[in-house]
Amino acid sequence: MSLDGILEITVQNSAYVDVFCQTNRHTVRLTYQGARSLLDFGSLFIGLRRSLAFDIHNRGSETLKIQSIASDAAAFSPSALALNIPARSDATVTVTFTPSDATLVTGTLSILSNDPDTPAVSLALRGQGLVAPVIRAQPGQLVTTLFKRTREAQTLSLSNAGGNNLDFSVALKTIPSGKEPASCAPVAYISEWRGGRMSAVNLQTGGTSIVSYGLRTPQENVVIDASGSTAYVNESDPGTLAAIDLTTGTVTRAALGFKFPVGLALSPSGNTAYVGEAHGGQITAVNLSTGEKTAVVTGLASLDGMTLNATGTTLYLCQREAGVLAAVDLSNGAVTPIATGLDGPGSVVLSGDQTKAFVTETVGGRFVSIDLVSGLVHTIAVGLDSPQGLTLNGVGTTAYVAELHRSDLTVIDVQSGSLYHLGSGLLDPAGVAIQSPSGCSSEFLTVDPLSGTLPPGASTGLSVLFDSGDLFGGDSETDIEITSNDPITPVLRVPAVLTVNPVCQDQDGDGYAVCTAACALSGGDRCGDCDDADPAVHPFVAETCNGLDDNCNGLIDEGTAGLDSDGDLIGDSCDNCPDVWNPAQEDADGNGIGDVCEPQAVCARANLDTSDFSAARVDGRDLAVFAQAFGTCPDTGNVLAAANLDLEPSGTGPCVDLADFHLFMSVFARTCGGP
Amino acid sequence: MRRHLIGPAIVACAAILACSSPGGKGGDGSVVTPPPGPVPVFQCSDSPAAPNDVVLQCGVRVSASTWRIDVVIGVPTDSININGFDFDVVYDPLLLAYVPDSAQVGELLNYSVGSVLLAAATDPTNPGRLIVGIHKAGATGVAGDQSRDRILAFQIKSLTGAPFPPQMPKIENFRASDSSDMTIPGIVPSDQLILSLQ
Repeated sequence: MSLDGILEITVQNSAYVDVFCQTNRHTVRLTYQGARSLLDFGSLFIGLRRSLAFDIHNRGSETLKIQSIASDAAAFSPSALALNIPARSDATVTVTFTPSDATLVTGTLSILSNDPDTPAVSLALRGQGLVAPVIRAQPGQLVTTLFKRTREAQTLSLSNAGGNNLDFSVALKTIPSGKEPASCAPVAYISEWRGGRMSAVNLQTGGTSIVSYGLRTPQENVVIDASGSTAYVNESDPGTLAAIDLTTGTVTRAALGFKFPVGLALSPSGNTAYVGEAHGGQITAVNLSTGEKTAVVTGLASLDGMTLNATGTTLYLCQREAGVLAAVDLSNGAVTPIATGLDGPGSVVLSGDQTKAFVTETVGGRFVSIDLVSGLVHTIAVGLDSPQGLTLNGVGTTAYVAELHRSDLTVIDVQSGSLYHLGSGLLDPAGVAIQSPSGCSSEFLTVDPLSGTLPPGASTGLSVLFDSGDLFGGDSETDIEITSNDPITPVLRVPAVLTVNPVCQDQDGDGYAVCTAACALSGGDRCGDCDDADPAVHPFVAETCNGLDDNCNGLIDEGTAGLDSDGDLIGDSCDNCPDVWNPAQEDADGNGIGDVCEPQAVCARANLDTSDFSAARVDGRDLAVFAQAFGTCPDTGNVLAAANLDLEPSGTGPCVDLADFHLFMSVFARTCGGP
Repeated sequence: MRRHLIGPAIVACAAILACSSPGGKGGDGSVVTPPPGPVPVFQCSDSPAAPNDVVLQCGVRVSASTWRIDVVIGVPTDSININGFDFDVVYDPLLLAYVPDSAQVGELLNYSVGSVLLAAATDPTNPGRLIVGIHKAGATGVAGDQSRDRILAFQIKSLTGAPFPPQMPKIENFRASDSSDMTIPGIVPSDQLILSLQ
């Protein structure tokens, strides 16, 4: 090596390198030792330190005594202030640069020794101090509580309070739950028509296990209650609704006597199952506590699978042979077609935002989505082999479909329509429902963007989306880990906690909770509270005359003591309209007079003849109509319901009688404003 | 004989006392009480009803200012299936008034089975219009005859003490209906009642 700093090197293959070498690439490393005259520490953020080392060699035959190693700049500090180096040996000294200002720092390291030839050696020092970026995140923790299958967007504000660009990247850290990952994977519960079983398929591993035997022709709608402990499925041949304990596999029959039940949906409270009878053409509401059955809708042809919207007000059902997807308003039983021309629609589920329905065509072999407003049908996948039941994952991106003639479960990407299969050994899979095991953390959080650069003084908002998906109750935690070039805080962790609320909390401690679709009961609590801020209000409490629905049965002050002239179960002393049947006591203007008792309301009901001069008044012509109906009752087949001015629907009340006549007389000769 | 003398003496004394009473100033002729004039009488007059005509007829004078008015149908009626009537009685509300709650069901509709529903009330916006509805409940109509020609009765009173000329209350919005609530076209109203205060 010459003193000009140029080193000439010849690189030559060894004898072991020949044409048979697989890789025609070679790495050559050159190391050499030379006298140092400069320690250049480069640029360094204030607050950081960087160390460089150099060796001191004693070539002499005596101990080299170094009396002093000192820097004339405070930013540079040597690792030793003095030392002795035995003859023919070396010592390493480290110099550390710790900038305190954003300036270029230079200095000299002076080494004084007993070397008679060179008692003093100098080493130049140089380093550039830089103002560091400083990461800030606000808030320091993200916390939310969500019901199942709901999302919430929050913003994590990230800023750079330092003097140089902040480069950051974001990652999420899942805090292990202590369970094996596979045991935390969602599970699909599949009813097997021919097998008479229910099996579970691990959606991560595809492992398949039998949960329960003893089912008979279990159908294509499988629903799991809010607690995740019980699955319900219709057994079409015996006409029963079966309940399967998912822990023990025990099968019980929740209700009997259906005519080929197929469709099944569970009310948000979990107390009511809606059963669709394919042969009976009827939808029946089953009280799962008592087994009591109530017909909801009748006369539906070729009724197949169905589902309930999130609020529990509308049933969506497939009419297989008619090729129709229809909606049933549960408040009045009205049936509205949504889409027609489907080729054997089998099962239906709704998207999370309740704007679309996903339907399997058992005959056509398609998996389609249907816009609930326009009825437009969009094909997602074709070529399925008698697809029956289906369900979606929590975020609605993946559909799980039971193809009757396969022995596994079909998994379909809703966006692309691509599919694959999971599980094995299924015997005519018909229905499918999925759930995520409780107590497992999952990817419930997404952050956008995942990286970026912030100039000094700048800030940005990271969009943080919580998604409870199919998580069951409890807390799921993760850290949003932001790695940056902030020298002080190279990794900033922002905890994010999602509490999935599965519990219908009893806020007022009266033993009853307000239950929703997303919650399950805890402890000994029961559903049905209608005012969870008032412990005096809950089911089965005695109704008192206070204008409130004390017992949460939808009626106000019913059954209170005293005369009840109109038979609406509200004593006259409490009744805001004692002569007219108004169990709900509606009083829109709050004047203490029930709406049905307001003079104009009575007037409208009493204006029975709306022809000629009688149109705008209650007069003899109306009396003539009234007289025609007077004394008639519903069971006579000659009732004129319009004359039943006191609105009594049952008992002796519906007869047109003197009670009605008294109401009529109260508005006789009044101008009622016409029809 | 003694008794005979005492009697004229008492009469004479009474005459003297009367002449010296505090109100009597007739002795000098300065104030003279006029003789009472004729008192106005609330009068009612009517005419017989022709068969199938519905008219207002004078019933009885209930008081000096009140008459009971009968609503009568001329008999015999052609229809044997009369089931009800609707009509308004219109009069000058400055002179006459319906006596509240005075309407009563007459014999025509009230002799066979079934309730008779009667409603009579003045128009809330016009006290000079009495709105009447009277109907038999049920599906059996009746015929009018000599013993059953009164549909209903009501009272009407004079509102003023000052005389007023003859007034003829009118029947409007009239309709007679049968047991099927169909209008009986042959039964029509006729106005002939006259009320006056003279």
